[in-house]
Amino acid sequence: MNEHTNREPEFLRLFTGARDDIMAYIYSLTLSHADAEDIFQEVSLLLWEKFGDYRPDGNFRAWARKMAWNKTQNWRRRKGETVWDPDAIAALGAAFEDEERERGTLTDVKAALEHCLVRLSAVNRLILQQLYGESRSYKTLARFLKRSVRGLKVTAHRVRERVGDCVERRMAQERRQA
Amino acid sequence: MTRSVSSQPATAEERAQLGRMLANDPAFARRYVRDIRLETALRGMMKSEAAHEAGLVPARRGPARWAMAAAALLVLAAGVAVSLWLNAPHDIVLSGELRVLRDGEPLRLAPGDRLRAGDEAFAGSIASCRLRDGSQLKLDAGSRLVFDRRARGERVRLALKEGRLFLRVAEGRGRFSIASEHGDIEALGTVFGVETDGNAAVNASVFQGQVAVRSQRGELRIGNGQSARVAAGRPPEPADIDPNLALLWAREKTVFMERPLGEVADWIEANSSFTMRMDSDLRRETVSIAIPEIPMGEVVDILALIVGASIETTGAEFVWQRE
Repeated sequence: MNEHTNREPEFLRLFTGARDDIMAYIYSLTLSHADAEDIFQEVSLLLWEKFGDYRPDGNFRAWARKMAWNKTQNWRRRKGETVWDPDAIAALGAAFEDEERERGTLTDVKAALEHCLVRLSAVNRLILQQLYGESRSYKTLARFLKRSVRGLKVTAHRVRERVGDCVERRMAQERRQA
Repeated sequence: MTRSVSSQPATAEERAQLGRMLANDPAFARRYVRDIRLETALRGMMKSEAAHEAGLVPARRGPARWAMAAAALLVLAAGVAVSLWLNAPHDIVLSGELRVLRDGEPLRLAPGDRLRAGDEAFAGSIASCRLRDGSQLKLDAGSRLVFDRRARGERVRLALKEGRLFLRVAEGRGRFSIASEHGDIEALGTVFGVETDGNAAVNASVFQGQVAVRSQRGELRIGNGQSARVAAGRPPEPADIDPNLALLWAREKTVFMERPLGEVADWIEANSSFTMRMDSDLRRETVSIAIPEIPMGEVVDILALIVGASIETTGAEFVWQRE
């Protein structure tokens, strides 16, 4: 039995809270949702295996990012890709930490996003749902909506910009009220 | 950069370029991370939403058009028993799955089995069964219903003890009456719904046709898209309830893949209080749509966008015109 088995509730609490942030980090390294999901599975197991090394007063997200970074580097090597320069990973890690400290975790982003999505028109929401939820290609969705691919891309870009701006405003508002 | 590649995986070269940019430009790293976090949140939420709705998948036949004179009944009961009588010439035949108690014992029912007087049905999730006369009965999750038959004649009595019930009666079949301790509701060849709440009141909402809502204090007739409420000791009164929203829970998850717009319009009419008016050219226009779980009015807006039509609305009537 692992010596940290009795810390399972603590692990589950930390992992559940940081799950989306870890996924975002891995996606930022791969820019491939499918690969990010595969790596995430490996990272999840690794985090539990190594949880005995994690200090209770530490930053769980930062610790998880280190593990995810190692796994992603291995993934790059397996694919024969160039591994990133240490400066790149340091800059990325710092940017994630700054965002979390100043703006909040991904849970906060989701709360703001929920507020903003209900303000979208049905059509714009459908576009986002098909692109992000159903992973439709622009080509398929354009045919479905009887629009040009180019026109749909412009619309999707604008909708996403609008949602992004709304999320920023909402999060700023939440911070002011906190 | 995220926005330009988010629809498809990045290439090895793009990832290498990203690594160089992150290493050399901290400001870029910050913008990039902000973008990634939004992207991840958006994808997570939309995936969760999509899991609850039908997708754009082919190979599913469009739904059959229900007769315009068919009737639908929704009963929402919260702690108040509401009874419904149906003039049905036959027993009820189950075509969906319900957990049923007979004489207090669990009964395993299969499609084609008959329900008897006194059978009590529970729906763990939305359950549907078809009556032998072609009418359709749907129970919302958590609903409890007792089937009964009157001593004389073939009239079947349904007593909803808890939850919501949707009933669509085949054309030309018997009338419906719903009785509660506060009043009776009688369908006059119509599509309608009834709701009771914890305050011991009954609401009736009409899809199509007319409903007579009666209590000891009076009677009120309501028609398409209207609702009425009967509270204890009060006469029936008009209620501000949209039947199209009240019945949204019972709407089938439906996908039309390259089907004529006319078929979709017929489906909308059969599942709302709306009437669609369009010329034959528009009716023949081919569309593909997964009907989202949004109010039917918004579904109509999306369809109009897809086919490039404008819509003029007069009450519950939607007049389509090609732009």
